[in-house]
Amino acid sequence: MSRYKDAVYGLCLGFLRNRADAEDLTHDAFIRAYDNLRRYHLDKRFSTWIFTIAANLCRNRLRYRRNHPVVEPPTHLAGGTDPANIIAKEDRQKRVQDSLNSLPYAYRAPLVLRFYNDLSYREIGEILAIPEGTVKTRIHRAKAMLKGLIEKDVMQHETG
Amino acid sequence: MRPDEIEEVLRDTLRHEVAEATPRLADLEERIVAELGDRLPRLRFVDWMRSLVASTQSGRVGQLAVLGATAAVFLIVGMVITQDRSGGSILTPTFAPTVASHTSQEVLFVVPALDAERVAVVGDFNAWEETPLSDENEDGIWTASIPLDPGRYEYAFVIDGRWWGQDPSADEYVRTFGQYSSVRYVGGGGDGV
Amino acid sequence: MTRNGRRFWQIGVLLAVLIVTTFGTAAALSRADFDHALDAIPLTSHDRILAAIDLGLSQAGFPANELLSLIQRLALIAAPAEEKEAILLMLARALEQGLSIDGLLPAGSALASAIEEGLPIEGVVLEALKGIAQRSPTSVIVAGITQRLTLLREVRDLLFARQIFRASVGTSQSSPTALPATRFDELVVQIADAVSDYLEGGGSPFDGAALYELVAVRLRRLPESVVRPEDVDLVLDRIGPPDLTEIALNVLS
Repeated sequence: MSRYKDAVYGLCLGFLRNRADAEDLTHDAFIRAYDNLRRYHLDKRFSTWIFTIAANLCRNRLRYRRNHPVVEPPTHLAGGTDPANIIAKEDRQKRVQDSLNSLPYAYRAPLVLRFYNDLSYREIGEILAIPEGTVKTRIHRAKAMLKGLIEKDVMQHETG
Repeated sequence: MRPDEIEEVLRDTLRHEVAEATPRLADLEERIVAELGDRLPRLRFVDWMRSLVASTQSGRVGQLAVLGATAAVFLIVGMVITQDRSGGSILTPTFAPTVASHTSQEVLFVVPALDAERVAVVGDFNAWEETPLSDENEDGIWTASIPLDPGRYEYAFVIDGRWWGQDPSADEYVRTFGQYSSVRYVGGGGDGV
Repeated sequence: MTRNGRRFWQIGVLLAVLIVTTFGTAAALSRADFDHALDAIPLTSHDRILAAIDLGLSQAGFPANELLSLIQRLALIAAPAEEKEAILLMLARALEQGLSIDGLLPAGSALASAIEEGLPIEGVVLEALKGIAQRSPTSVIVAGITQRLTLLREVRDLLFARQIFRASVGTSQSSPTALPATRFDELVVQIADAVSDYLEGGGSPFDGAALYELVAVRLRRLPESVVRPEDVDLVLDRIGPPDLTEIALNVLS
């Protein structure tokens, strides 16, 4: 399978936490990349470039969502009885998914780029247009937040 | 939960989510390819005169500019190459280096072959024996810069053993032996266009 | 000896000679024979060609005798060594790819005849190498070679008919229509190549206008160092669409 297709989709899914949106934006990212090909410089990594496009599209979509809340909540991953739910492989994964949904975008984005796309701090900084130091801090805090959310979830679960 | 445990579970979760979407992604890829295909200029051998894509420019800077402007099929080519990978033979790779002369120009060959392991160019300038392209930063864009004296050169790419004859940066396409190959004119001052 | 006895004896000797000639000669052909034959031609890739022949010798039904004859013939032709080498390289390349050169050898002979005539065959050999690189069937490659050689002759003859001549190497241009050999040859090669590509691509030989346009565009796109503008003007002035249609039809018939 095309490695870029999966990578871009994974990025979008991680950022947006919504499958339909992720598909749309993956599609848009490729079209946008194609349309802007004349701006692409060969000495840059192609992956960085298309990830940047995807990341920007996702950020814009999230802003839009915030400013235009819909009556019908979008189908989120995990939770609820929505048929578009992803069935977690195990209970722990489901908790991670729920927690990810709750994470603010600013923390979730670098986390996804690091642990799904396996990018370096420098590349993440390039894609999100933030300094490398900030990337490290955010990831550190994001992991802590995630841990906190998961453990809180466990406690709630256990106390029923 | 230990910090590194978090990382592991996070990775697994994210990968699992994407893996779940695999069948839908195949459709997505088709949609993208179809839409990009609509945007492709129609290049058919019968319309050979209208198929003259771009004039050549000398010098590497000029080449890159031409590339940006006319190689708008990069992604579609990359995806088409990735999609259609059945069969194909492995040609014996040999390197036939071209020696630069004082009239020769560096001509840039670029191939977007996002999942390929080996990309080479064959043509008049190397007696149709493979000259490898390289992808130093492993981003799927393969390049080679070959010194060519002014003239007309027919060539094609071999991507993981498969013949790929329609270089978007070509000046012309030729179809012989049932397959396409590309042509570039390397100017020597009088471009004649 | 009785008369019948003598006759049987004669037949016996004849048979023995025949057997020795047929099998004996074939068995006698070895790497060393080819090495020696190749030595008669100044080659830059002697070793490579010999190595390829070595591969061939291990093939069943390898046409060793015919190949040796071809090499010996090439050695005797008065023509540039590069052209002879081009023919041998073509055969070597086919052998390297594990192909049988049975079908290619007659084309090799045709190419040898062409260089004897003084036809510029480099482009034809390049096309053959392309075909080999593409793994096209030998019959298709051979048909291509045949067609292109015919076209070289036809185009050359057309230029002659239109009073454009090929001055021998070294003599200066005595009249405006006698071009130095390299310039003349380049024109022939480019025109023939353009028409070949057109026909092989499925173009109609009856569309003289398209053929002419094709040739004109090609000649004008080439850099000046390859074909001079005044040579291009000369040719385009003196040939026309009907000429090219005639050539194309001659080739296809």
